[in-house]
Amino acid sequence: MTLFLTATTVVLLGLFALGLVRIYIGPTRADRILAVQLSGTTTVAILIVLSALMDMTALLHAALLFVLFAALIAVAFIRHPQSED
Amino acid sequence: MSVFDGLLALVVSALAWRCVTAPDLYRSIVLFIVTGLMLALAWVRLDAPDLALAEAGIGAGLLGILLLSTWRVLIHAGPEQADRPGASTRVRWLAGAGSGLLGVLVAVALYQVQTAIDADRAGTLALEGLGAAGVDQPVTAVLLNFRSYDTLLEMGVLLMALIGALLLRSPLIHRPGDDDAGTDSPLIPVLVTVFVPLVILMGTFLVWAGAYMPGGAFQGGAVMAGAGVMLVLGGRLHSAAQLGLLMRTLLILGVTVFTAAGLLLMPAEGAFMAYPQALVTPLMVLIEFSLAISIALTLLLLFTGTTGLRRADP
Amino acid sequence: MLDWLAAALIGSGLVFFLAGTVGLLRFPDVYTRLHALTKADNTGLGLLAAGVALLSGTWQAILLIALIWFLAVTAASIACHLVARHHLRDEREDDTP
Repeated sequence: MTLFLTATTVVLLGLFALGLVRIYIGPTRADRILAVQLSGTTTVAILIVLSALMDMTALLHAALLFVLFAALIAVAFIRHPQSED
Repeated sequence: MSVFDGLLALVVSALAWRCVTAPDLYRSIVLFIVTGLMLALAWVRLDAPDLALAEAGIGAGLLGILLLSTWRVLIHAGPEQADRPGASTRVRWLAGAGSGLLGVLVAVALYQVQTAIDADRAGTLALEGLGAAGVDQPVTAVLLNFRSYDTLLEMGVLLMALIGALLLRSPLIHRPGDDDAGTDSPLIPVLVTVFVPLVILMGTFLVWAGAYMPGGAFQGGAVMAGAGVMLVLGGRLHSAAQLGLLMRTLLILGVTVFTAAGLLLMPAEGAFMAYPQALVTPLMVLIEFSLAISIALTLLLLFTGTTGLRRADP
Repeated sequence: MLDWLAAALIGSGLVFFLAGTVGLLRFPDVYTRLHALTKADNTGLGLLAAGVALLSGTWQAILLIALIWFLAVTAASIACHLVARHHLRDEREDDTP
């Protein structure tokens, strides 16, 4: 099982690297931020597999953080902080 | 696993290289965020989940959001501001090559160091003395107990950084203009309502978890600051000209509690920041939470660049 | 038996991840690429997470993995809606100078 999980992380990392091509070719800003969101999901997947492989629950906490901050990055991409004074 | 590690090292280096050589600001920011994701994985593989958590919260999270928000303000000021290349292509490639070379040299140096660790170094001593620290997590024990002077002064540095930033401030919060039309999606309030309580809960949990597993005041504080950033971006918190008494108190809470705990126990213990064995665990938790609150507020004010924050009028 | 089930779940999750990445690279515009991200990738994450949850055994880890997946789906749908809306506005601005 360890070998299978290890292979899974390698495949996921390879897919992550492949997805980076979209950041390189763009062409619009929306495409690039989409590629970031996809990298975020892939990183979360790698962390979940690693948490089983390395037997560290803390990695699931890190995965949870990435999920929460991925949403925040999308909001920061489209929105200014506002003020009324 | 070595295939994974090798590929990871390759991707991190390539990303860092592209981050420096990217042709415009926006692409550099995007690549910076993605590099943060990979760095977190690298810390995991180096058996340092504490740093992976910090990287997730501060490196990829807060810093990425700060850069994106700055970029939006630059766009608002005029698109030419945001697209101006910082240096010529040749300089950027040189910088990339230099960083790569430095990385290789550091890696070689670290490899040499790792093979030459002997038994009675500080790390071994700290692990042996863990029983007296009041917490089970070695990183937290070192930060809050064995090298508490350093941590106290770091809190001072953070406070100084905030004061400096506020003196030179150029607030990220700006007046609403026609630029915001069309970005007011009905889903943003939903996102804020669902995610902010969860983010605060996660931050609090990480501070608490710092006593027995990876986590701690810095990681938890950064996550709590993330909740504040979400409130600012969601329009629930607005800038205020004055820093109220409550905000000031919370900003210095960490340093005050840390110093007070050290000073008040001095007559009994005979040394600054020495804690009696019976009280050490509750003291650690108290100090950790007050540090986290101060860190969260400092990072939030550094993010917005304003002297104060107030609730939005309903 | 449980191991085989977990392996099957993780394997099919990987297929969805592959589909998502191929979609991101091959689809013709932003709106179609959004599908690759929200649907394929989150299905892949769900299957993969379910597989790992079967292996982990402790109920705390299973709950945590379920929470991660639930939040990932919520975050991805909201993020994609925001990005699509933003992109639509950008395109309209380009059309009417």
